[in-house]
Amino acid sequence: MRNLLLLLLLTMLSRSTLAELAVITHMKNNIDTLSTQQVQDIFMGRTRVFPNGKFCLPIDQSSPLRAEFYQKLTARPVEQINAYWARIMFSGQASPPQQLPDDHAVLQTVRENEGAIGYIDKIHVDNSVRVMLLLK
Amino acid sequence: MTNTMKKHYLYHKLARSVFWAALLFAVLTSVFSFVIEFNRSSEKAVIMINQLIDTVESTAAIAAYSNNSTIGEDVLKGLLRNDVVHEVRLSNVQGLQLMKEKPQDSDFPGQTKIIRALYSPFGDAAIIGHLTVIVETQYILREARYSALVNALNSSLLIGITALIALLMVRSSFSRPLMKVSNTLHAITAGERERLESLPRNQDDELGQLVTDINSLLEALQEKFKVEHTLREEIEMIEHQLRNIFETTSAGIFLLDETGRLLTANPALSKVIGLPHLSHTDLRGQDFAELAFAEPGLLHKLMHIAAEQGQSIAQDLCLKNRGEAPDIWVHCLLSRQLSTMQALRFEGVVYDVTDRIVAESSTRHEADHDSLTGLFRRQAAERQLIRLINTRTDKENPPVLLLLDLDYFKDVNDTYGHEAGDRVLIEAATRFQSCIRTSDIVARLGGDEFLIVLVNCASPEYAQHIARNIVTAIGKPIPLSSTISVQLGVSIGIAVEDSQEQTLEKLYNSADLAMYEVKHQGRNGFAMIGSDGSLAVEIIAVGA
Repeated sequence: MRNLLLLLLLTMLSRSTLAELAVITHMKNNIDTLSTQQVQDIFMGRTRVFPNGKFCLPIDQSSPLRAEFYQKLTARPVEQINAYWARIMFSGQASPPQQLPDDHAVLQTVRENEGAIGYIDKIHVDNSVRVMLLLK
Repeated sequence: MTNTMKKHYLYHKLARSVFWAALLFAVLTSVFSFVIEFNRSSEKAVIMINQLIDTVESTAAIAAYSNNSTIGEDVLKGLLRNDVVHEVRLSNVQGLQLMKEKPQDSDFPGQTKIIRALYSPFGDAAIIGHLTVIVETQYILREARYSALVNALNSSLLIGITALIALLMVRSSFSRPLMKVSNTLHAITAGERERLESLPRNQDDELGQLVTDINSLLEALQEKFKVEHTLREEIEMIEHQLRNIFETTSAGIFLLDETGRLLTANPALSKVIGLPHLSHTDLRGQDFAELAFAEPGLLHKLMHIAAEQGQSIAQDLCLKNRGEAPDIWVHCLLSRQLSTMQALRFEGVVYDVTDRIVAESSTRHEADHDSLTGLFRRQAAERQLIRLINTRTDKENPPVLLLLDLDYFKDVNDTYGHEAGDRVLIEAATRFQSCIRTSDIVARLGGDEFLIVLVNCASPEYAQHIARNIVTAIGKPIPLSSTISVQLGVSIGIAVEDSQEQTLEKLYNSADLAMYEVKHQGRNGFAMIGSDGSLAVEIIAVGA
């Protein structure tokens, strides 16, 4: 019983700390790399374009990966991010990025949209997308 | 009564002073508290605004970060709802510029501006915008004014109440008793028996002492008045007596100025100086010496002496003769007045001494003159002769001494009696006098001996001439009755005073010697001793 609990804890730790997240874009995106700041500005709705001026579409997740992503990106808990978006939404001027259920759906959407930008576990990255930033 | 209406009470003055002082103090307090409160309110406003900014900072940061003007405007609206905020601005690095302000156009220079830098809500400490709040100075002013007003009211009320209490206390414990004392004192006339009532409540303080002191002062004053009154009565009495003396005395009393003019005179003066028709007012201003006296210079001399010696001086003076038979004499006592220092004054008394002068002069006459013949007696004649010798300055004309002795007088006396003798002597005296000048001296030495002194005799020859005349005059018959007459002779010895060393006795001796020589040689003649001692005798034939 004790061993089982320890195992579960280890599994959770490995999921949250050991997972490496990749910020990905469409293959046709000609930007080499994006900084954490630039990714943050895109996902927090501060900007709607890439540094090269092309329109961007940030894609969020509703999976547990979301909390990890924002933690790594902004060093803020996800609740704060939610509160931020709640205020923005209340003003009616903007809305948070669209949420997709998992990495697979994100991959699929990024592959299909030229301006899309999303995040997935690094292990799911393939050659169909371009990695802009790795969040450890 | 009107006096008391117009009186200015100390109490009112005090009240006025306290009122103005309180007012000034209240104004000063208000200004002071306004300044203090203004500073305090300013600081408070800054603190409040900082707290307000703290409250909205994160939302404002979100607005600036997301470039969201709606949120920004919400924040600004919320801030502007506070009284202390006048204007708010929000700007971010992406060019968002939001601004809101209160409608009232309060344009105060130097408005406090608080600027808060806004940081990104995520991650790093990058400044993404600024939130600016401008303080509402009106609000601070209002706060300060209100506070100052409250303070002023407070202090005014406190000061006013304190002052009122103080005034009431001053009035009841100081002003009222003082007023009572003052009014009573006002009504008291100096020297009266009235006294101030003592104040039971102020027995031991300054007011009580004041009342006691005033009462003792009044007591002393009354005493002094009494003494003075008695003194005045005495003085009045003395003055009355003196005036009585002045008015009724028979002596003339007068006061002269420095030039001798009459300043004051009593009624008796005009009578004394023989001008009874003049009243004493008529006399005023007249020159006393010229008016009254035969020799005004004498009085002036008296005045001079009195002024110099400062003591009283007296002399008998003869009045100016106004036709009265005998001269009137007055005794004049004059002294310099000492009481008046500013001007020289003489006071004097004159009274009639004519009777005394007459008596005195008759006495002297009797002493000096032979009662039978009216000629000088020996002593009087010698006195005059000595004076003559001593005072003589004329060397050329020395006095000449004639010693005379009637011849055969004893026979007349024996034959016809003393009465006849006396008549002979009287007749002889008359005849002597007719032969000489009035300035010469004739004296009866005693019995039938006579002396004649020729004053300022021109020459021995003149003396001999006189002697010859005398012998001739005496040689004429002297009638004793209608039927009987006698004839006498005279022997004369003459001596000339030739040097002042010569004594009277020697002169006598010389004359006596010469006379006896005449007697010896046959009588009825004269003899003269010359300067060389020779004797010249001349016998004159009687009846020739």
